[in-house]
Amino acid sequence: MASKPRHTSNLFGIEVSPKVEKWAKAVGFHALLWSLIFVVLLPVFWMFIVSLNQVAFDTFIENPGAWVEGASLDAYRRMLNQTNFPTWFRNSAIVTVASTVLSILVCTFGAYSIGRLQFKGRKAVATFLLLTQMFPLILVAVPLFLIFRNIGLFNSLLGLTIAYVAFVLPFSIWMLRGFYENLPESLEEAAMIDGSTRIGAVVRVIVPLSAPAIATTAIFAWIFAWNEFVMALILINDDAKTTLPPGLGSWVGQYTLQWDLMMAGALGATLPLFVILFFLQKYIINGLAEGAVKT
Amino acid sequence: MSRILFDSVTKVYEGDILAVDEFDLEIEDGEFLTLVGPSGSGKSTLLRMVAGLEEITDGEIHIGDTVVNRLPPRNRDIAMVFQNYALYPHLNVLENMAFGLKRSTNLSAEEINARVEEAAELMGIEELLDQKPKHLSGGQRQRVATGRAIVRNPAVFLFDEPLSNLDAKLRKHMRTELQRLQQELVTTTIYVTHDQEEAMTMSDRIAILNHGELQQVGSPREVYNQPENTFVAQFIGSPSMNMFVSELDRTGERPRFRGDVDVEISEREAETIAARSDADQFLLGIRPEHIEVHETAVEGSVPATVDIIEPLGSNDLLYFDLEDGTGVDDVVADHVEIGEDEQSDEEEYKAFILPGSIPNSYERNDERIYLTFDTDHMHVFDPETGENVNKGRMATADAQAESAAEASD
Repeated sequence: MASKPRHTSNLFGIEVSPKVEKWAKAVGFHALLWSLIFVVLLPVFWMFIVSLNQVAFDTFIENPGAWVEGASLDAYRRMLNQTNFPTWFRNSAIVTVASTVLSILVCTFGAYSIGRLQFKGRKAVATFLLLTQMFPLILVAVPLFLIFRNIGLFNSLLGLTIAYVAFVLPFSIWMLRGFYENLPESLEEAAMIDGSTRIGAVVRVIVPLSAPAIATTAIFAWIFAWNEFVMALILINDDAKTTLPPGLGSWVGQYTLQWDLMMAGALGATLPLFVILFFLQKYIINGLAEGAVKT
Repeated sequence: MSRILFDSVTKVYEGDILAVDEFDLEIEDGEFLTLVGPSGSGKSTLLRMVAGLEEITDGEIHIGDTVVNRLPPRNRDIAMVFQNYALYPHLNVLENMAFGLKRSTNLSAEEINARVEEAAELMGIEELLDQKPKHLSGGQRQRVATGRAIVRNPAVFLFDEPLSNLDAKLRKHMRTELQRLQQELVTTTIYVTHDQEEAMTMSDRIAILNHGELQQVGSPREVYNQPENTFVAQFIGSPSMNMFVSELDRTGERPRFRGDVDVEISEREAETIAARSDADQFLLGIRPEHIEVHETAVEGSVPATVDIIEPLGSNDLLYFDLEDGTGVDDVVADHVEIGEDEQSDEEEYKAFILPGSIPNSYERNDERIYLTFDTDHMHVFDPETGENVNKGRMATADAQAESAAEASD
């Protein structure tokens, strides 16, 4: 490179000026980036198209004008006024928020006790937690249904919340535990000498430091609860108490399928996740980049 | 300010690992005591038991007049500086220092701020108060950690190797600074270190530990001049004490040691030694500064060859080999610790010389040098028990020297 004149460079064997080279590289990079984004977002885009006007893909390609003419928010109107969508959305929100908050609360302390405290059977508890992750959800569905029915948790949002927390906890605890183990123990010891109780030390020192890990766990719990289908289908059989996934599922009729309504519902159900991920993801990246702990 | 009392404190870790064995010690009010020993000697465990971070298996620890065995750390009125400083990374320096005051006192926000500022001024970190720990250098973090301890004005300071993460120059500087601070505040202090130099320079008294057992407690001078056993003799002092093997011969007109080192001793000394030990071979401990090196033979000198000469500045350190020395390892009992040098494969004999007094060409050469020993500063150890069997004599010699020094003042 050094032997060449300063104002030209070589791009795929063609001599160009550095300015052109920079520009060409930028174009190439963005072309690649946007094509990838296009592939990923195409289904979402198609959901949007169909929700406004029910068309087939080839019709849309051949004559987009026809689609524009027939486009309306009718599906959204029907979804909000003629179906239980708002109730399901509310139920989903309640169950998701409740199970996320609850599982974060429990797993913050649970992970701490397994990761830090010395007590008999600590390893057994930790292994047992992992063991529960080996069973597919559907395997425990029937026993869980029977138990919940017997103790009166069947057909209630509280029951569903408890079930979700139970499923999210093992993984969350293991994840947080790994993070805690990397924090120097002397931090809590310093806090305890400085006048905190052990719980105080966890709340004031450990929790703020593990915020990125807790956020990740929260996202995991949130997505799980929001998307969960099988448990919600089995543990709830009242249409007014069900959540979005089984609710939307009930729109699939035996002979008919209103694609525009379906897509409107799907978009409506996806939106909250988009919003949450958008904010929390930024937070996680910040947290990791800051490198909260250095010893 | 409080005295601390260890009453046969024992710590057994899970799996029956004995970390501290029947430790007894009283630390006076306002005293600076250093716990020193190699790693695994139980010194940090002791400190953590005082702090309440480690349970006490047996025995009692008193702070002031209270038995603290069952007290949680927050109720013990102590402050601790950790080896890794343990600054709260999410709080700035001000919040780090105020943390303890907020938790353990009812002071108003203004009072807390005033006290933090006072402590910050004492530590020279006023400008750093709004910085986060990650933006500070090692020395600054150390100061903040110490500041966080002093701001609470506790009854006891606990230092757990606080300077070991600093570079050599800064360490020496902080050493003096910590010492000055402790003298100013007159707070009872326990300082843990594995660095005997740190222990020597900072403390009122040093407690030397090995394998969880207390070897000796005393002022730096005491443990240096009157080591109770081979472990203390070798651990304290750098470079460490030379150990020669000699036999006590009482057949002649005057008793004398024969072997690596030939020296005459008084009848009374021989009596004391024989009364305390029935061994026939002894370890003679002589520090490098108490050996004189000559180029020509003088009366009673021992021939040796030069291994290496290390220039140290004001004097040089000469490593020598004896012509036909008996290995110390052949003589000492297995359980007797002869200190840090145990690991090195060969025994190293050292003596201080004036720079240039022995030509460098003598190194690894057959040229002979001749050594004479200052027998006033010779220690006699029983190789079976490792104990110093003529410690009393040293004490009197030192007392005489000290009173002479005082008289001349």
